[in-house]
Amino acid sequence: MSTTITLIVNGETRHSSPELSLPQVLESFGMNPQLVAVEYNGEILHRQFWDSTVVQEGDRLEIVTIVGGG
Amino acid sequence: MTTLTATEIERYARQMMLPEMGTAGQLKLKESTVLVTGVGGLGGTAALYLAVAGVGKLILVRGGDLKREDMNRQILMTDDWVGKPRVIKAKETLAAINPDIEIEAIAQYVTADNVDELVQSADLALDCAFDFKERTLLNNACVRWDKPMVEAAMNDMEAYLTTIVPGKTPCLSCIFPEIPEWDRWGFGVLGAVSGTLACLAALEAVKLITGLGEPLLGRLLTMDLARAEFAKRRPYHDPNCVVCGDKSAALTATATGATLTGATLTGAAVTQPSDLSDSLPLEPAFV
Repeated sequence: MSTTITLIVNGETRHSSPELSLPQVLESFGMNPQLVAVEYNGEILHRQFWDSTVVQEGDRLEIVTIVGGG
Repeated sequence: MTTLTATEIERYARQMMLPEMGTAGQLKLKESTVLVTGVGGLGGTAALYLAVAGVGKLILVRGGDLKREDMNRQILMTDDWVGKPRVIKAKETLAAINPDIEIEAIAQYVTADNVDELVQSADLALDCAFDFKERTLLNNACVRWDKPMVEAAMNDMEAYLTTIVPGKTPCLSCIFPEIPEWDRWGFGVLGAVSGTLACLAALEAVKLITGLGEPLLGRLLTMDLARAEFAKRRPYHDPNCVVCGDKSAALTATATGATLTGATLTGAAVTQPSDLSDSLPLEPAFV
């Protein structure tokens, strides 16, 4: 059986495979984890916690591109 | 003691009407020295608003000569200046608008060799650089010398802004511990986008100096200007940050009156800023 979990990503409903770490979810959305910061359920999640964070049903992700121009 | 001249009282009358500004705030501005690095579409416009606000001394740092392609956003420049050093013209324009302030123009890029002296000569810095190399140098020096830094950056129609007080708020390295590959010429820019961010950055500096309002301390304002969406986010204050970790631990110890015991450091380790629960993480900030 195929199951998916539902996430809220930048305010929009998205589906993802279960049991994926945050970087894997970002990559599955076609994003480069090196180029974004992620607010995870209300707080920007430091990179040291990314690999150990398994994205869950109903999680809210706000994905912000890291920019450096002036 | 610093006082305001009759001309200055007239020049700044409308902003001194702000209850939180008053004469006291204006004097604080006059006594301040602000460093602006990267005097382009962002830094030049920020410098303009600091100059008209009456910041006593501006130090403008930017290498390179003006190109015609800069003219869609670098509003201190004039067409006849193409090919000449930007900061010299920036100083000339600002001095014509406000002759009562001091302006130092340094036609250099920020480097490991000059950054410490630059930061030490100012009360606070505006980071308006065009790449992460200069941003990292400035962040690290501001932490080293205990100087607040307004961090403003943009790309295409996106921008972010935060105000860093070393040890008290996350620093740039806490927020973005891995700096991505970055092509400083690889994106489009509209003058109204860099200018919007610049006005907000200048306002952060004015708030920090005068105590007006609430600066973005431990808050990252993200802006999607294509959709006019603003959000205040909560970055992580890393107690083990290689740049500001020691300073944060020392401040935590001082604040609690404790010595640097393991318990204190553990306390510092939970500074995901739950102590800053005054506003909701996704609360939109209309500005």
